[in-house]
Amino acid sequence: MQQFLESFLPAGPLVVFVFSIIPLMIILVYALFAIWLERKVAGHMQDRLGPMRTGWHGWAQTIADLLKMIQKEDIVPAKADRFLFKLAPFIAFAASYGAFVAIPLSSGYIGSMIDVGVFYIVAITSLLSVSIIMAGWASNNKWSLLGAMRTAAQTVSYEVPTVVTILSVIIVTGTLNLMEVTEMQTGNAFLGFLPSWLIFHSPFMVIAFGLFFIATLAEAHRVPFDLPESESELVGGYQTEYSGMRWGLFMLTEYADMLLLSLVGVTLFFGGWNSPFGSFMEGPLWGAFWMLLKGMILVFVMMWLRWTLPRLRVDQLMNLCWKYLIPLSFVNLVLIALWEMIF
Amino acid sequence: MVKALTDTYSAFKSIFIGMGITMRHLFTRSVTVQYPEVRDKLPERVRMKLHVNIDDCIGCRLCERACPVECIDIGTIKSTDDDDLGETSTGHKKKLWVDNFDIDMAKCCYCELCVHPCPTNCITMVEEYEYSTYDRRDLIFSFSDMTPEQIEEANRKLEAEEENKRRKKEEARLAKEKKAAQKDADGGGDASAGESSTGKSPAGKSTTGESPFGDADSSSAKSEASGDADADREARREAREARRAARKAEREAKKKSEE
Ligand code: SF4
Ligand code: SF4
Repeated sequence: MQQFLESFLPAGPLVVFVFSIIPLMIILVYALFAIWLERKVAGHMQDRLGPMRTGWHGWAQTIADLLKMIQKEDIVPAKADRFLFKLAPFIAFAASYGAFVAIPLSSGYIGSMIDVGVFYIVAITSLLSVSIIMAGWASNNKWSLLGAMRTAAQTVSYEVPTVVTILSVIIVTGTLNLMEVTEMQTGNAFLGFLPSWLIFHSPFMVIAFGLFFIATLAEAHRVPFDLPESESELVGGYQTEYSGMRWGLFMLTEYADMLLLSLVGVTLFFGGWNSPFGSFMEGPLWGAFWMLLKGMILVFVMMWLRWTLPRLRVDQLMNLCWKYLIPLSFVNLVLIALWEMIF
Repeated sequence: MVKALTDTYSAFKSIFIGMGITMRHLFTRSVTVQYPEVRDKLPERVRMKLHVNIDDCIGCRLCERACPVECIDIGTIKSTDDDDLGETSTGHKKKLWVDNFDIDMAKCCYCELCVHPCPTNCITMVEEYEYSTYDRRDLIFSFSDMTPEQIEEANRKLEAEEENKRRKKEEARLAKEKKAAQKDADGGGDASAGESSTGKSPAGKSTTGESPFGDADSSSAKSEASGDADADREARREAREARRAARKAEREAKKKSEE
C-alpha cells in the first residue's frame, strides 16, 4: 500500500499522512451511514419510518445533524475543569482510532505490522475508559461522575472475558499479529466447502465467539450494557455536560468503537478480509469490501440487539460478568487448549 | 450449577425470541402517516372550522343567538323597497343587507349549535384544520362581502326612505289632524289615534339612528318579545347592540381619517 502511494506521491511525510488517514475516511463515512442505519433500524423495528425528509429516505439526516452540531455554541460549564473537559473527547477518539492501526483492512492494507497486534488493541482501547472518567470528573456533575464510575467498573470487569476469549483464539492461531491470523484463515479447509474461518474450527470456537460478542457489547457500551450513558436514568452519563462538536466526537467514538470491535471479531472468527467463496472475488479491494461487509453485519446485529433488549441493572451487569462470562470463558479456554492438543 | 445452566438457557431463549420479534417488525409495514403529504381520512361531520356561504345568508341571526359563547357577530341593514336582493338557493327571500358577519374562531367551542338553526343551511362546518396563527385577532373570520361604500350606500338609502316615510306619515297625520279639527267643529273627539301614531314614531327614529336593522324585522320583534320575558337575554342583546354601535362609530371614524 505504502509503495503504491509512493508511486504517485512524493515520498516522505505526505505518503505517511495519506496512508494514516485512510481508516479515518472509512470511519467518517461509516459513521454517517451507521447513524442513519441505526435510526432506520430503530424506526422500522418499532413500525415507524425513521428519518424521511432529508433526501431519499432521509439519507442526508446525519449530514444535516453534523452541520447543526458544528454551528452550536461551545459550552464549558463554569465549575468544570476546563483542560480535562476539553481534552477528554479527543483522547476518546484517539483511543479508538489508534486501535485501527493493528487491523488488517484488506490483504494490502494494515496500518502497522506489529507482532503484538491484538494485545495492542486491547491495551489501547482501555484508554477509552480513562477518557470517559476524565470527562465525568471534569464535568463536575453528579450524573456525569456516576456514569463515569459505572464505566470504569464495567470496562474493568468486561476486559477479563474479552481478553480470555481472545486468548483462546490465540491458542489456535499461535500469533498475535492480526494479518497472520487472517492469512491462516484463507481457503476452504473444513469439510471441503466451509471457508476455513476460525469459527468453524471447533464447536468451542462458537462459544468463544458468543462470549466475545457479549463482552464487546459491554466494552462498546451498547444496549443492553449502556449503563455509562443510560439516558433514562443518568440524563446522559458522562456526556451530560457536553454539547456541540465535542459531544459529536463522543458519538463518533461510540460508533467507531462498534466498528472496531466488530472488525476485531471478524478478524478473529470470520476470516477477516477473506472472501467466503474461496478464491472467488478476492484481491485487496474485494478484501476491504468483505472486511467492511462482515463488520457491518456485526454492527447491524448490535443495533438489532439494542432495539430488542432492555438495559441491565448495575448488579445484574456485574453478576453476568463475574458469575457467568468469566467462569465460562476460562472453561472454554481449557477446552480449546485440550482440543488443540488432541487434534 | 444446574440453575446457572437453566438460567443461561432461558436467557438465550428469550433473547432469541425477542430478536425474532424485532426482526419480524423490521419487515412489517410501518404505521406512520407522512402527515402533510398523506392525511388520514377524517370521519364525516367533523367540526373544524365554520364557513358561511354569504350569498345564502338572509341575516336572520338565528345562528348568532344560538351560539353559547357569543362568538358570532352579525350586522344587518334593512334593504329599501326599490332594492331587490334576490333569493337564496333555498328559495328564501333576502330582505337584509348583511354588512357584517364575523366569527371569532378563537372563542368558538365547536359545539355546532349555530349550524342547525340556520333556515338556509348556509353556515356549515368545513374540513379545514390548519388555520393556526401567531395572533389571536387573526382568528376572527369575516364573511360579509360588502364593501364600505356599499354599506354607506345602503345606510344612506335606508335613511332616505325612512325620512320619506316619516314625512309621508307626518303629512298624513297633519292631514288627519286637519280633518279632525274640521270634524271637531262638527263634534266627537278622535285624538287617541293620532296620539298613538306619534308615540310610535320617535321609537322608530331612535332605532334607525342607532342601528339600522329596524323593528320591521320579524325576528327582532320576536327577540324583543322574549326579551321582556327574559331580562338576562335582553341585557345581552343590549350589550351586543352597544358593541355594534361602537364598531360602527369606529368604522366611520376610520373612513373619515382615510378621507
Ligand atoms: S360552533 Fe358553537 S361556539 Fe362555535 S360559533 Fe357555532 S354555536 Fe358558537
Ligand atoms: S342562521 Fe343562517 S341565514 Fe341566519 S344569519 Fe345565521 S348564517 Fe345567516
